[in-house]
Amino acid sequence: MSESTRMKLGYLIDMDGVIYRENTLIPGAGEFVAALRLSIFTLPR
Amino acid sequence: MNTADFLAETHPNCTSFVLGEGGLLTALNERKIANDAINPSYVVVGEGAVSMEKLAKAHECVERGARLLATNPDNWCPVSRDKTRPGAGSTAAFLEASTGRRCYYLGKPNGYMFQRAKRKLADHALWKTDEVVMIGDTMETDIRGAIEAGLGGFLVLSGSTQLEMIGDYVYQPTRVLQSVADLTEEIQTGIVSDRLNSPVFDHGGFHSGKPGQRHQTDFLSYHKPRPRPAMTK
Repeated sequence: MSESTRMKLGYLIDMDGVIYRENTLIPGAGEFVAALRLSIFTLPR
Repeated sequence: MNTADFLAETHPNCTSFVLGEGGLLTALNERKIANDAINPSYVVVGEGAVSMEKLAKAHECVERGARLLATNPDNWCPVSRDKTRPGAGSTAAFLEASTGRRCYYLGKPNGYMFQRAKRKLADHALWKTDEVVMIGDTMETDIRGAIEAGLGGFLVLSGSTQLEMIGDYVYQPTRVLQSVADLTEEIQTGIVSDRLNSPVFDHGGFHSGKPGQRHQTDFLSYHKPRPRPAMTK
C-alpha cells in the first residue's frame, strides 16, 4: 500500500469496546457509523 | 447464531443437547437442529447459568458419544468495568475435565467465524471490496482471528487493550487506532492512509520502519521489565 491509496475496505466491527462501553457510546463512534452509512451513496463504485 | 449456522452447514439434521440461554436453542431450532437429551450428536455449550443437573446430563451425553462443541472459548465475560461472569469456555472446561474429551470452540478467534463473516459481507456488499478488515479492541480474539483468516486487523485502544500490551503478542494488528473516530475522515474521503501513519503514533513523535517490517509496536517491548515466575514451589 502506498502513502495514500483509494481502496474499498469491507469492515467487520466488534461492538463492545469499539462502538460502546457499558451503556455509553465511545466518543466519535456515532459519527463513524454515520460516515459508513453515508459512504454507500458517496463512494465511487 | 454462528454455532447454529456451523452445525446446519457441516452436519444438517443433527441433534444437540444445549447448555445455555434461550437464544442459542431458538437459533438451533430455526435451523432444524432438534433437541435430544438422551443420545445427541453434539453437546452445545453456550452462555449463561447452568445447573449441576444439566451438567451431569451433558456429561452423560458425551459419555455416550456426543461431541463437545462450545459457542466461544471465553472463560469469562465483562459485565461492567469491575465485574465479570463465567463464560462458555469455563462451562466447557468443566465437561472437558469430567469426560476427558476435548471441546471444539467456535467464536472468535475461530477461523470459521471470520471466513463466514467475510463470505456474508461479500454476498451483501453493494460492490466488491479490495480488502476486508476486522476492527476490534482485543488482541487474542479480534486481531488474532483476523490475521489467521487473512484479513486486516485494526486494533482500537478504546476498549480492553493498552498500547504497551501490543508488543507482547506474536501476531500484530495491521493498524493501531485510538478509536474508530480515527477512521471517519478516511471513510468520508475514501482515501486510506498508510498503516504506519496510524494517528495513535502522531503525538509520540514516533516515525520509523518500513511497511512489511514487524509492526511499529516493536519499540514497546525493548526495555520493559517483566515479572519473573516463581523460582521454586
